[in-house]
Amino acid sequence: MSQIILLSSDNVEMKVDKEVAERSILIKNMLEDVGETPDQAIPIPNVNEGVLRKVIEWCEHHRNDPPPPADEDSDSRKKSTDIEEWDQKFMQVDQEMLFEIILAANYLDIKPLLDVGCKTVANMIKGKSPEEIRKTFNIQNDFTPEEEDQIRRENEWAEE
Amino acid sequence: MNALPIEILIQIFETLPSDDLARVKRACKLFKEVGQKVKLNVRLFIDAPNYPTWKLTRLTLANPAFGKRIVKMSVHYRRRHPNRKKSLTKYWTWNPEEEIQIKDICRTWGLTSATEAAILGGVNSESLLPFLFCLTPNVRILKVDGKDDFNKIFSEEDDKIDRRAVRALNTCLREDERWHPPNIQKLKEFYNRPGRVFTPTDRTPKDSFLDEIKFIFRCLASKHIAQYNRYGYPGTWFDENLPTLSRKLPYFEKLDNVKVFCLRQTILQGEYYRFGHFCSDNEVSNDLYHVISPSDKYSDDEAEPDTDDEPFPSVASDTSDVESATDGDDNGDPGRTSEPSSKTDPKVGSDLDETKHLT
Repeated sequence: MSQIILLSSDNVEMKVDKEVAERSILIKNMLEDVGETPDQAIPIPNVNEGVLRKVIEWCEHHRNDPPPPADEDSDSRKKSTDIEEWDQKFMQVDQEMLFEIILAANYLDIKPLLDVGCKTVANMIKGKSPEEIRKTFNIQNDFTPEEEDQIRRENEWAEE
Repeated sequence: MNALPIEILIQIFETLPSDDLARVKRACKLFKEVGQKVKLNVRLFIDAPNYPTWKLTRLTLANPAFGKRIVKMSVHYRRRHPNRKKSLTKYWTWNPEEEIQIKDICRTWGLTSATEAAILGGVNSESLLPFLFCLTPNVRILKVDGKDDFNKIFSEEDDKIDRRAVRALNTCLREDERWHPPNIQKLKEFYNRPGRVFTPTDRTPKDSFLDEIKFIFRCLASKHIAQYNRYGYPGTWFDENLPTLSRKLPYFEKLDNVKVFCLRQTILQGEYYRFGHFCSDNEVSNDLYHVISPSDKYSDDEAEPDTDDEPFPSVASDTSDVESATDGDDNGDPGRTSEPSSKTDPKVGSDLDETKHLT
């Protein structure tokens, strides 16, 4: 099994199986362009060591996953509650790390990981009031009371 | 979370059901902005007391871009029940500009005059379903729950409940809301006025007037408020209108996951299919949005129905008021005599009468 070396943004080298690294479409395309397994480390400038290790951990676990269904609109993909158990555990990290993982998955083009990340955040939003959402994500309320009232009324239709 | 790029926030928000999305949009300006870009997965609560479906329709009328963002609709029934007073609501009211828009759209898409009247009258939120299809060209998935609801509606052959009784009950309810105890005497006078058709004692002897009322309430709740089409068949707006939708609305074929329990039953029974008259033979405009005056702002001014403008005459005033209103104007609201089709179609008058039930 051929291996490649990834170089994190903070200059840490990591050896991974090529098959694992190719969960990232970005890396996969890169390797295809090069044509042969490179000897030099592949720099991943946007991802630091800690995050890259997490991402690789995920890719290791999901190395044999079948490719995701092509149907973008498929209903099952959209359901935010169904995250498999291992992924749920994997995502039990602090918020900063969670967002870093999402950003890395986005950058490295690892769609299933990005999905899991987004679903995790969505689940953190579900069932919460606006104030609770602000608290959860440490967000400032930048609406004036009038604006707040206005947007509340605009969205009344969604509430039962 | 603000560290995440907009595209990712959109992806996150798109997994949220509409009520959660509505709340997250209220958290901060950025989320509001993002929330306005996501594809929508709306839940329509039919008959829910807080007018959610009417409000959604108002918003869609005012902001066509909003309707285009809707990709999935799921319909949930929140049927009225006599034991839950809050489930019985007043009519929804539109402002004059909205009424013009609604008439235009109904004509353009060939909605029946009965449907149009029910929408304009704020009568039955089910009538909004076919209407909303006209405003949401990107809907791909439609789900309807409440198979039981439909069974309840169709299983009983008991369709003789007089619409005047429905009014009486409505009046009773309002009275009850405002005064305790309700003004039963006034109601009784109204109820026993000459010429009324409904005679519950024909079927079920009742000990008292109040028991009678309770009995009717139970009947109504068990089969919802039967909507009579012009042929005298009970049905629902949705049920009646769905079978012919795909013929005239090209995008309707894109619905790939339609679960319409009522439809199956409808076709089996045949008659509703035959009488489905959602679409006219008129040419259907390809671009609906030409008929909607472009306005991206959602006006709040009329967000709440005017509580003073009651479609039912108040029993509080006096009995003659009640009587004259029910005798003369079948809309129950003297101010709403300019129903669009009443001059052109002689049948419409009776349609109106038939479609005015509880909101």
